Amino acid sequence: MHPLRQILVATALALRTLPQRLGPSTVTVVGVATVVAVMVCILAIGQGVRRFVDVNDQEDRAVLLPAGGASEFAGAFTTGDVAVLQSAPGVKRTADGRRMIQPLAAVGVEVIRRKDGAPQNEMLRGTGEIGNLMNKSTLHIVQGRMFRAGMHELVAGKTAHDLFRGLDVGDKIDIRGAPWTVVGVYADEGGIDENSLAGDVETIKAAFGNTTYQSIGVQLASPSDYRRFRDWVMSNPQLNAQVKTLGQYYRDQMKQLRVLFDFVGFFVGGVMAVGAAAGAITTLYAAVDARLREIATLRAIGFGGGSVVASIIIEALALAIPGALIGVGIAALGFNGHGIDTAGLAFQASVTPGLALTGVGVALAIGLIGGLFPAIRAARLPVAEALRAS
Amino acid sequence: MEPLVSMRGVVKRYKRGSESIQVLHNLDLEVQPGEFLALMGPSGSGKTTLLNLIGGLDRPSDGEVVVAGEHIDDLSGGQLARWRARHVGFVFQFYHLMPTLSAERNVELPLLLTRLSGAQRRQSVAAALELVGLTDRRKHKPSELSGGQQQRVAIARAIVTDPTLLVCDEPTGDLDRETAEEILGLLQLLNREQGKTIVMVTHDPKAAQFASRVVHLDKGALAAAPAEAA
Repeated sequence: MHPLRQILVATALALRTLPQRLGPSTVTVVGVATVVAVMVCILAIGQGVRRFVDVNDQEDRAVLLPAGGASEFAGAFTTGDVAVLQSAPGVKRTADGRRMIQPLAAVGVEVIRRKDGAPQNEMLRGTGEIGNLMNKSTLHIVQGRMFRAGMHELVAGKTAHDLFRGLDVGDKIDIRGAPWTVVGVYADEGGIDENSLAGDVETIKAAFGNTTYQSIGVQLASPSDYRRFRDWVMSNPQLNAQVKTLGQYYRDQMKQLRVLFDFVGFFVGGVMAVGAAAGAITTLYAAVDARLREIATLRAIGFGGGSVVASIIIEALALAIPGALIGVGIAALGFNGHGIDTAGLAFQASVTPGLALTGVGVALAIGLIGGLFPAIRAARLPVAEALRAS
Repeated sequence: MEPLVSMRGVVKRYKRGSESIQVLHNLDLEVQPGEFLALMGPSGSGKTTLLNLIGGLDRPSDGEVVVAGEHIDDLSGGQLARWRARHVGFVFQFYHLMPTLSAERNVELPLLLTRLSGAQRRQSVAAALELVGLTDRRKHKPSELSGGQQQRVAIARAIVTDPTLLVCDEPTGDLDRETAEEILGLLQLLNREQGKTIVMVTHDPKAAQFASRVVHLDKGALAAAPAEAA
């Protein structure tokens, strides 16, 4: 006996009859494709959030935040704090020997959305010459030029520029009663930094009447210096601060959003998958019923129950695989790179190879579950009775 | 001579809900090698149930069934399937051919369970189709064949592995008289010239005349002595 040959023959016979069951089979394929497409699209939003944050990840960049606050808006660091940091270990120096420590401002400014004219608060980050040196090489001016110190000038992230009115180079926006000129637009691979505006920290501080900085950015000599630097800050009684890498800070900021989309993706996808599996079960039960005598004849001739089970599961997988490919194809072609504008942030959905594999995995699971019960039913078929079924 | 089929005290009960229905009652039967036995009886007499027990498609509730020296009532489902593949060829009333396969592919099906090479399988298929007179129809699908031709293909499929026993369930029940006689003649030929042992269920006395012995069943028990051959 050749179990594999039995499976091949039984499967070939099952697949040959597919055209006779084109309608129900197509419904199953479409059902699986819909589940995969919807799930992958929703998960692609969560993946977009991840990418949105990860593109800015710099493991050799630390940020000091207020000890009790999670946001860079909440800090109140003094020039004294900045001076204390000058003794911290692991901090990189500029070419002329200055430590790369940049006190940062974070304030909200009102801007107008292009699509509906609604006002929205957008972050204006105050930075400086050293802060600009910390930026990755990917962050670059795409229009105009960089702002100058001491001037009412700002640069707009590309996403912010695309989302809001009045951020073209040469436009002026009113901040605390004074006009600020947009002098440039910068891009950074679609990362979170592109969602904000940036200007000179001291000018912003003065414009808002602040005497403190909201956070402090630090460029470390290497990522391996992070732990040493963090421990030094945390154990220093003069600094009431917590330290994170820049990437970790952004990941923490986006965690809720990412978790939400992941939950929605898997929940909605899961519920739909149950429906699709039920559809596949119905289709394959009908297929088994339609092939009752054919299956019984094979069993009578001597084909084992295992080969019949395998053939029906393979048939189910054969329906699930095109569903998976169609679903992933729809998600990848129609949704990858699609702009998402939510919670005051704009980023792109990202259909990654990993997500595509997740979609295929879910489709195969639907096929497996959808095929298993009809297969067991076929294997338990009373052969003599089925042979006489009309 | 050792009987090919030996049934002793065979009882078969079916469950219908909470009710147990006894179809065969303490039945004894022997079939000798080379015999062509016709099982006759009214509807519900248990003749097909008996045939299914002989062919290993079902198991008795009680009693023993020995076919070709094997106690098939003791075999598991998988063992029984393998035993059927080696020892039994089936011919059904409605042919039960695979509609998507050509005649020769249908005939080849049981051979796929053997260790024969592709060339050996093709040779056996050709011989079987020649024996039933359908060489020129080997590429045709069942839907392109008449009822009689389809039953010939089914007979070719049943004999292609050279089984110990041919089990035929109303093989002419779906055919007109002339075609039925051709099929019965073919079965008789296989019995007489190839030495095939055949057990055939029929309700048709004319069909039974082609057998070498006729056994009547009534209400699950043997009812009469063997008849003379046609």
